[in-house]
Amino acid sequence: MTNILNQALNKQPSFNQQKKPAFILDSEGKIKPMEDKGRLLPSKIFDSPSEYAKDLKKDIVNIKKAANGKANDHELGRINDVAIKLGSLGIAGYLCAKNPLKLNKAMQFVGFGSFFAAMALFPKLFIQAPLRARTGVDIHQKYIDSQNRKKKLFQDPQYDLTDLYSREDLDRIGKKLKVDENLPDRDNFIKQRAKKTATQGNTLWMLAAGSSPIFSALMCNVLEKGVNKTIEKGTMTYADYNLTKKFNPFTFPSRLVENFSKKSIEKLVKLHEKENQTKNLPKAKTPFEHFIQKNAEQRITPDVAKYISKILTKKTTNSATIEKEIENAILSSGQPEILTMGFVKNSLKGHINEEIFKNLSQAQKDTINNYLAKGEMKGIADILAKESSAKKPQQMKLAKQFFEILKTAKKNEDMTTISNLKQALYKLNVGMIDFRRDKKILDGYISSRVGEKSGTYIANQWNRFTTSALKGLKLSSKELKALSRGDISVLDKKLTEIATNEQAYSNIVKDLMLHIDDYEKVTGKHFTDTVANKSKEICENLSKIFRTEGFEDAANKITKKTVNKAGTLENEINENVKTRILGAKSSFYRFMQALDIYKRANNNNQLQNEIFKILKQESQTIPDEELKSSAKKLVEVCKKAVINATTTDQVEKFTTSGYELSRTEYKALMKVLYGEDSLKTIKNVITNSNKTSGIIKQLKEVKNSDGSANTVKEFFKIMKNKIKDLTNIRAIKVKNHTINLNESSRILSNCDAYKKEANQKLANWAGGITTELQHRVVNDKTFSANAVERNALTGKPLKDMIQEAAKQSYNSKTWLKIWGGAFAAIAGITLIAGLFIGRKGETEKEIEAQSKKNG
Amino acid sequence: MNVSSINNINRGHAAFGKNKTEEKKEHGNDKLLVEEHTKHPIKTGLKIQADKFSKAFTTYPKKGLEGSKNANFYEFLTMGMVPYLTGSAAMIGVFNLASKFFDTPSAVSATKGLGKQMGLGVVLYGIGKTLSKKLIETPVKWKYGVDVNLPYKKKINELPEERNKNNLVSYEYHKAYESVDFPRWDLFYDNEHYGPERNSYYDMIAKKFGMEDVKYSDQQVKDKIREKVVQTKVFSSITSFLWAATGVAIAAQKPWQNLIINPKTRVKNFTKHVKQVKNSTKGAQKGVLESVKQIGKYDFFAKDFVKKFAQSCKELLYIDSSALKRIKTKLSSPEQIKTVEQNLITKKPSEKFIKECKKLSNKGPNVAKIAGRTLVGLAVGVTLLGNFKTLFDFNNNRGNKSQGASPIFDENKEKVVC
Repeated sequence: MTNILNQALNKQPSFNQQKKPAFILDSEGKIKPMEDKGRLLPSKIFDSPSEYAKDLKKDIVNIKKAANGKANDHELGRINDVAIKLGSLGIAGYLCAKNPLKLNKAMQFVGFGSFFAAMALFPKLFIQAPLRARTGVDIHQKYIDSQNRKKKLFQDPQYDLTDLYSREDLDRIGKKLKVDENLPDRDNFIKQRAKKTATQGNTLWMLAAGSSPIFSALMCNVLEKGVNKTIEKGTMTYADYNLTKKFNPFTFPSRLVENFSKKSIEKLVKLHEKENQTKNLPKAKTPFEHFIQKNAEQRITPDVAKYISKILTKKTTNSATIEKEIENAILSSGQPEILTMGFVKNSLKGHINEEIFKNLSQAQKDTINNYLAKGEMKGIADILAKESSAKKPQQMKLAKQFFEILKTAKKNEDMTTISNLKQALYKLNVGMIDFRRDKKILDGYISSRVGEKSGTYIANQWNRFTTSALKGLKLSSKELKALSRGDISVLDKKLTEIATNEQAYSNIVKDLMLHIDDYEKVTGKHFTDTVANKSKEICENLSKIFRTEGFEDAANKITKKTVNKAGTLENEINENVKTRILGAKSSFYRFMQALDIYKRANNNNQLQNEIFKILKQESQTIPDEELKSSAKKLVEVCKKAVINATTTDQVEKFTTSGYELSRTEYKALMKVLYGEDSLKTIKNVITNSNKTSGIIKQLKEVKNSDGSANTVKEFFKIMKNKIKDLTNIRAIKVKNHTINLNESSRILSNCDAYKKEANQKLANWAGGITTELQHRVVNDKTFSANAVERNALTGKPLKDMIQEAAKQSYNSKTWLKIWGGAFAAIAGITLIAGLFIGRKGETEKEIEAQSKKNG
Repeated sequence: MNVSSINNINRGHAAFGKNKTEEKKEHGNDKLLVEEHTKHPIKTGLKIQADKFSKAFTTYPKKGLEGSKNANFYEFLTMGMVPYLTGSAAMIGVFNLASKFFDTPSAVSATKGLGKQMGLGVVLYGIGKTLSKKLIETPVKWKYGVDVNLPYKKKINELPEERNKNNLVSYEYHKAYESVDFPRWDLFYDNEHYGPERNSYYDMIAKKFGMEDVKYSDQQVKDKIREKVVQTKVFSSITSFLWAATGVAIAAQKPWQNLIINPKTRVKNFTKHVKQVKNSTKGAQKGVLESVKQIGKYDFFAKDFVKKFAQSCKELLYIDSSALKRIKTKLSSPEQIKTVEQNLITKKPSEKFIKECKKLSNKGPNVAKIAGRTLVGLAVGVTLLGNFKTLFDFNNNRGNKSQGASPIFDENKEKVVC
């Protein structure tokens, strides 16, 4: 039908020519309709990917055709849809490239996908599917027309295509719509009802489609966690691969950077040469002119040195130390100018009366020599200027310039010029290329585990730990809000509650200790050893090149041949990694310490008694009553310490926090916090949760049952079965909080190791047990008594850790509450509105009533 | 996808054999708004949009939800305004409305900064999409006289319904070339705006296509017009989304985070100024109008916006403003020459050299720079390609066949598609 019109309209005769329309005459009696090829497509909620691909292929062909002016309305409409996606992909692509973080990069595409998914899914889930279930009418029913184009059946309500419905379709819809079986012209009646339903459904869709951004944002919110986890795992695997394989995907960008740095250095040299040529000085004839020309060559100033260093390091090394060292090396590489009386004389030949030198008094000569030795040319210039101006003023013009230069000259002036340094720069660049590549791989490896950015293992593990901690504290939404606003009393209250609830305490401890266990596994010895070996290798390679080129100081800053690597780049890399690992680990243990202290404090004054015992041992002369009161006070200090204390508090012995502790009291406090008994309730939970502890017992029983010794074979047989059990237990570990034997022993020994380290390096020193100060050099700075390490060992104060987590949790919950609520309301209204769609109107009721009346 | 609905086809334009008076009378129901569109394009455009806007939120949803037998595809498409506007508002809202419920100043300001960028992204998307279409459409209009946006008012005689048995006439605003399958050729015949002749419009177009003194100009140019309309539509569609993406990319730059919107203070300033103007004897009569005219003097939002826009464009494309400055100061003043000489004497590298060093030190593969330039390059490139394709007629032979020379129906076929 449309095609007849189409052809007729396109080829209609001009009105100027309308007397004898040809088509009426020539085609008379020859037209008959072509067989109808239109058919409905199977009604389904989602299209298959292959169908999407087929459609896309068609659309691309259509764009090509349309660019040459050949397209119909249907094709133009589809091209518009492709253009929307193209534009959106452009947005996602750009934002992905702009964003440095992998998670944000990925989320741009997740956002792109989810937006289109939201646009497609919302009508399907909340309008199309419920309506199809209730009325049998698929408002997005598609059909293939005679030209094999896929279209929507109910796109234009005025273009009635319900004839394409089969007998079965009509019966099905009729049944769902409860159309009287005996209604005359029943099929037509059903078709009209279907059309009406579709018009209503499509209108509802248009009205509700504005909620797509909300739906999309919610989808992103849900997907973000999974995407983050995938990126974390992916980045770690990728970093491992790069570290083990020398040939890696970094080669390509590395080559790009290599080209950039090589070209940059070459361009810099060229620019420099050009700059010096622009002086247009005549060829030097006299020594003075030669001097002017030679000395007029631009020096490498600190600015230029900084930029050259940046070109060499290209930011890929990620280290300020190496950048600064190269800068210094360049600046100090120049040869000092040899300033002698002869040189001054030669330089001035022909410009001032040489008699001046002869006529100089001995005292003046001594003064000049003195100035020469010091390199202070101003004095010489002054003397010479005075003498010459008195004798021959006409020769002073050029000499004056020379004196000006002399005035500013110093003996060891930065004589570093680019021409002098050219060859060394080229060689350094070659060395730096390898270093940059290797360092980037190492940085990638380090960053994947402990990088200071979101999406890394450490960042995600921190989030997992704090989320579990918040969950374990069982905060109500009011408490969460209060905590997020810094109300620490909530934390105190919740820790007390947990301490008095055995089950809750056991659950939170097991949950968190498993997180710590995972953390220790990932950031353990294997990781730190790998970093140490790799950093040693790459730093040694680079320092060798610096040494060959004569930059000894810089080479020593990269790494030293001695065992003590303090102040070197190699040391910096390893120390940074260690400190970072320790910082997070200590913060995790600090939470456990808090749980432990509260547990002991709330267990029939257990903590108070323990403190009393320690105090008693330390000072036997003080009466018990006084010690008891001290112990009571210390319990409160203990609680405050785990929640609030910073390294300063530890060092200042809590004086700034408003507690006055005697030396003995402070020592006792440190013993409680980091001593032998610390974390003991945590360890108890882990030991008790080890369901397999009975295995050893069983094993012993078997061994001793008949009094005779077991054979080795029997022993292994039993062990095999027990290992099988262990594996099973491990599989269900998360569900029933069972921790297997291996895990529990590992957790316990890690726990002890941390306690030992904290005790030695933090408590003993702070408590005055050890007076020995451990000096350490990091990045050229000397830290007395291991301040960096102590700071890391103290960990993040619990109030900060939990408040931050609470803030994050509260903000996302608030956001989710507002927009989740808004979306739920929209979806609800849409669903309810959908219930009113497809109902009988007055006309339909009249028709049915009339039919019944007529029998 | 604009398919004219069956009841929208004016029966008049298929009546070939009628005389001029009858013809005029019949298609007089649908009126080409060429006069209004030429003389007051903005006013006409606003009027049409206002009509569509009000109906999209009132009449059409009502008709659609009732399942009216008069509901049509035009109404469905016009209702597209609803999700377009509510969706944009939701998108702005998702990043802005929740921020005040956040607890800490840092969380609030972080979301506010991002929210501003998101909000602007939506606005610049819309602006980029709408304005960029003109880059393709306007040159075509200038060169060939084919205006794809030429509106006409369409009269619809509706069928009686349950609740609407009397008010059976409605009006719609369409574009003469909105459908390439069914362009409203008829509206251009005998249109006095183009001249006294029946074919004046087509004569004009034929001339623009370089065809002088042609007979039956309508038959000669219709295919050419159709081709240009298709090309214009496809290129304006693709470029519009690329420019929209560019708009979002501009909004994603940092300068916007510091944009001060503060509507409350600005309204306050405005009212204050109105009062001031009213108090002065000169502007007593037109306080509001005067205040609007002088808005640049006390409200710096527009100035700030333009400044931030320029900064963001520079950031997006990584334009080095010092490079521009250098070109400007190439013709050095005596003072600058003196400075260079001084630098030579003191052996300091020139400022120019240091700047070059800095530039070289920053040189490297910058993905954001490449992406920004690619996006803008793509938008500019496709726009230029669109201009090239639409402004040059590559197929001069098309459309020269007259009706008499080519029979409409293929005599070898017995069937036509229905």
